[in-house]
Amino acid sequence: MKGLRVLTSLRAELPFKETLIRLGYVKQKSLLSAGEEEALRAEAEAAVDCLDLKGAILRLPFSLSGPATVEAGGCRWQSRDLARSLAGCRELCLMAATGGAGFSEQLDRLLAAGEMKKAVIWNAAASEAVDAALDRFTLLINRELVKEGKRTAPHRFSPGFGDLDLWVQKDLVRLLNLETLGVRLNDSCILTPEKSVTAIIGIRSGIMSNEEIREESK
Amino acid sequence: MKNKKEILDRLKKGALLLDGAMGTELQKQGLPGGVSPELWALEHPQVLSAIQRSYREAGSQGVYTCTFGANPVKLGDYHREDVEGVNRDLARISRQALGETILLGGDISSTGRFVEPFGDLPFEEAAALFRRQARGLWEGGVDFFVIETQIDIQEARAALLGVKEIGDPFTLVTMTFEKDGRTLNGTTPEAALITLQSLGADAVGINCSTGPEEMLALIRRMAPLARVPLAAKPNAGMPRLEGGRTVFPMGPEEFGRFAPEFIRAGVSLFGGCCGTTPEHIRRARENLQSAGSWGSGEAAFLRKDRPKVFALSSAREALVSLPGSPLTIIGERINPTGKKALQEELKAGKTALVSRMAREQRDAGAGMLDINAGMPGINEGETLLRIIRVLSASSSLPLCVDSDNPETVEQAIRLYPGRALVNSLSGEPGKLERLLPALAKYGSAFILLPLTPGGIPETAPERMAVVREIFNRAQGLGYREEDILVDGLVMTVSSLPNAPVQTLETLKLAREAGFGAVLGLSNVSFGLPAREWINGAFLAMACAAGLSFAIANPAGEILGPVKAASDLLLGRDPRGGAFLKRFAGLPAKAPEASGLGASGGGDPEGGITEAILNGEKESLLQELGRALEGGRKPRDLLEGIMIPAILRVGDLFDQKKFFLPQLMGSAEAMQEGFAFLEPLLKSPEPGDGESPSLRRPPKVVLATVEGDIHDIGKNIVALLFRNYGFQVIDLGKDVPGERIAEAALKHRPDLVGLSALMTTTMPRIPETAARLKSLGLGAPVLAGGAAVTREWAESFGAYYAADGIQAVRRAQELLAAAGKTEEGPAS
Ligand code: B12
Repeated sequence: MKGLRVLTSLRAELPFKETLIRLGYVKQKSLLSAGEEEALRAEAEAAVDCLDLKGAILRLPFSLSGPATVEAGGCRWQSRDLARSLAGCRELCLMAATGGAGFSEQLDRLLAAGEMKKAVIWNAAASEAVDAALDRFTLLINRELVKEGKRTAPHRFSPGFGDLDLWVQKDLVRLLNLETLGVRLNDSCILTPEKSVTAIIGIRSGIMSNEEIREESK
Repeated sequence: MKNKKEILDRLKKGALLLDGAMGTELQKQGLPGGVSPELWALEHPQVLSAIQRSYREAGSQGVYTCTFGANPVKLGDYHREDVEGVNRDLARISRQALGETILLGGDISSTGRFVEPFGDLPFEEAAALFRRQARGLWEGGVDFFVIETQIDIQEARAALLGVKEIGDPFTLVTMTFEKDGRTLNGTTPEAALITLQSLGADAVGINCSTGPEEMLALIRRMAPLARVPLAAKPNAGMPRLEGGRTVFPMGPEEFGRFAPEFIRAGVSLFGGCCGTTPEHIRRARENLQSAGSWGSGEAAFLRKDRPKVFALSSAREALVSLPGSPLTIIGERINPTGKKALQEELKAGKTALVSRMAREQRDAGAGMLDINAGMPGINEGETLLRIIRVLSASSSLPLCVDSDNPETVEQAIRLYPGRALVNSLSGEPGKLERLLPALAKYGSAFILLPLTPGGIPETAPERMAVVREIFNRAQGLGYREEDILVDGLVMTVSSLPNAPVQTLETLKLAREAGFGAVLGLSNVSFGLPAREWINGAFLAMACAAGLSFAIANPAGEILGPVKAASDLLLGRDPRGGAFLKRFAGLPAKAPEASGLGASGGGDPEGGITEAILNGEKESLLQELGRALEGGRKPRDLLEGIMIPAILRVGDLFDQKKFFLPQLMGSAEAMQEGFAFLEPLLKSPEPGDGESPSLRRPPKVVLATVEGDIHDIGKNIVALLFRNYGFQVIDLGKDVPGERIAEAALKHRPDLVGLSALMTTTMPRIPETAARLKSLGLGAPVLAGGAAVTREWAESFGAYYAADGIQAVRRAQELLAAAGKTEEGPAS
């Protein structure tokens, strides 16, 4: 696919606060000593070290052929929520990130060994790190859009959220050529390796007024 | 085209003012969205000329061509093939507009694609793309080149090599950093500077990124390491949204005030990026004039008082060794010699073990990693490149390329996305002539082995004579002493008793001459017993003689501590921070953990409870052992202490005082305790007839349904069921309905628990429930998983639980209701 951007060997970062929250930590309620926090952080870092973070980004023009129909890259997606998240945009970016198959193997090994404490920490840290990669992709896109006087919409959207069908991922996997990154969609529409995500985000021209955006999102 | 020296001489005299933004100015002049700014400028030369002239009038002494996106990839998006022509013509328009007195910079930026190992664009292809753009600009008459707004250090390297390979013009490279002080790809300013200046950039700096204030902090980090002029082109503040418009909030006046600060911080080239205008540049010039800050005295690259810095980099981090720095261990383990497992792995083309070895060595204290792929039966060059690719992602430590083959070395340092150390260069005739120019081209640091064709010089002064001879040649290619580590040449003490003394003396002389010093330690003790002690003592002596790097296995039991102690004793570890960190051990955990355990201290009951609450398996087993010795009955321990403790854990989890890792830690400990007591519980005791633990435990079959690979949620549930005395038959993940039914027929469980992560696999739960029913299996079905809800589960007669603790409680209720058991311990 022309314009497809593939990112490999990405530095995986640990979003530690998010990891704690994913694990159920509640500020002011949960008990967490400094020593425990340190140990937890070390474990979470070890997990993130095992990720082989990769991803892809594709920028495409799209059109709305109805209040709930988005057409892009030769595909047609029915979703009012997606259409709404693209209000005020003329283009969109598809993106995906994966933590790689090696991580899943490691996690399976922990689960098989009954090392559940370690496993839940690894699971949460890797999930958050993969998700954070999409934040970084969004930053990257904006870095370049600034030069064009554009920016991304405030929120990205993923198949499986709201009324956007999970099966839309089939198109994303193809358009982003994710199989070359080792990512597949199984017959139940689950991505393997497990630590993988796909998303769609709109691109706005910076010169659209808030009123116009509000108008379009109706 | 100015020659390189002219520009450098100009910068030695004082700072140079560059231009401000082009893109945002073109937009103001009517550049529509969705078109290529370069092609539009080509069609509107008068607009381009006017903007550039206004920069000249504002005081810019250097102005960039409007060719930011005029590379083959970006122009290809607009179906333009004549890359050279577009660049040449745009450069000519600018030259005509500006005249000869302005330095015209040929502007090159990112293709938008990432270069291997950080993307799918092969390195050589990337370099070739940039060569094409550079050729066009060169023909158009630019004075120098600018490679700007780079976030991928490897693309910056490819562009730099591409430009240099057309004829070595003056080239400035500026990278873009985020608020966290790294490029989006994770490179620090120090690492970027070291990598680029050693690869031949004539000036290095930062553009775009942030506003001036944030950028200044990054420039200050670069300044002490700069051997070349520094450049800064900040945005007019951080972009903000105002009324749906992207605005750069910093006005010319405020922006201008920063200019003298940048010069004072050591910058030689200053200008503006996004959001800046000719007015911003005018203000900068006025401020520079009134502050008298044009002089050369402040330029970082001219500062005389700097210590000699030995600097290496990976794609992300810099390694800086100063005269007083601690010893750096170069981990030697990634070398197939004598390592069966690694040999197999490399033969099979795999690298997982390499990543693991890298991690282990880092954790053991290595500051960089030696990589060697010399073994029969594999292609050394390809293997080394594969190792470099994988370690670029999985490790932040700089690499030491270790090979005897000059071609292999050259391939490796060309691809390596940082500044490598090469192991090694000696006076071997033929090899020196072949390898030295390659090392110089890529600016690699190297280990110098003072060998002659005749062999190993015996004494230190003889060795230093060889060092000097090789250094003279290297100097001619731009090397300085601090780019080189002299190898003291370790010989076996058992055969050459006087050799270690000469080695130490060589280190001392090398350090005095301004070189770094390195040893491969272990040879010294060859053929002797207790080798580690000899190696350790020798390391300490070598440190005292000035050793700065040691090639060793960092996991050695003696080596690591000797290094830490030597650093401390030699004042290379101020206030003993590193030493104390290494030996202070982890902070005591149990007592402060949560303050929840009963009083502990001698009382096994308290000790057992505490061990479970703190999730400490070992101490739980100890406490149980102690209690048994003290005559406590196993069943009392289980029912009287352990079960109440795990119930307490459940309550703490409900109250959110405990969260998932603690719950799991306690549950794991509980499981160990069970396993320990289980054999003892089997022998019945008098009066035990009615004890609940002798009843058949309730049975659960658990599975993650077909098509679903999410295992961890179900495993959590399984563990907690076990904790609460259930017998769990865990069928795993991706389990077809038939297999679940088979298991249910075989085991006749009291409950079937089914897990599904997503709506697409959830239908397998009611299908399986129906299948069980049709087989006459009446066990209730408990459904769970991220997307499952109570209403949904109840809609087909199943039950629901949100997490493991709830699952156990729900199961106990169901069993109690069915009269299968008295209410379990939870009630
Ligand atoms: C972290 C997370 C991710 C991570 C990791 C995913 C992974 N599978 O490892 C990442 C970022 C990679 C991700 C990706 C996606 N995710 Co997601 N993700 C989550 C999140 C926030 C937590 C999942 C998790 O790991 N929990 C931790 C584990 C330990 O908990 P658990 O498995 O749920 O198990 C607990 C309970 O469910 C219960 N339980 C589990 N099994 C059983 C069994 C029984 C018998 C019982 C009684 C109880 C029980 O007890 C367990 C212990 O407490 C959930 C939302 C949520 N809050 O649950 C969404 C969620 C699962 N994701 C969702 C989606 C849509 C996706 C994506 C499709 C998005 C996209 N387009 O890329 C992808 C798909 C990934 C794939 N492999 O196919 C949706 C699914 C919605 C749907 N329509 O099905 C959810 C529900 C979010 C939402 N509210 O919409 N995701």
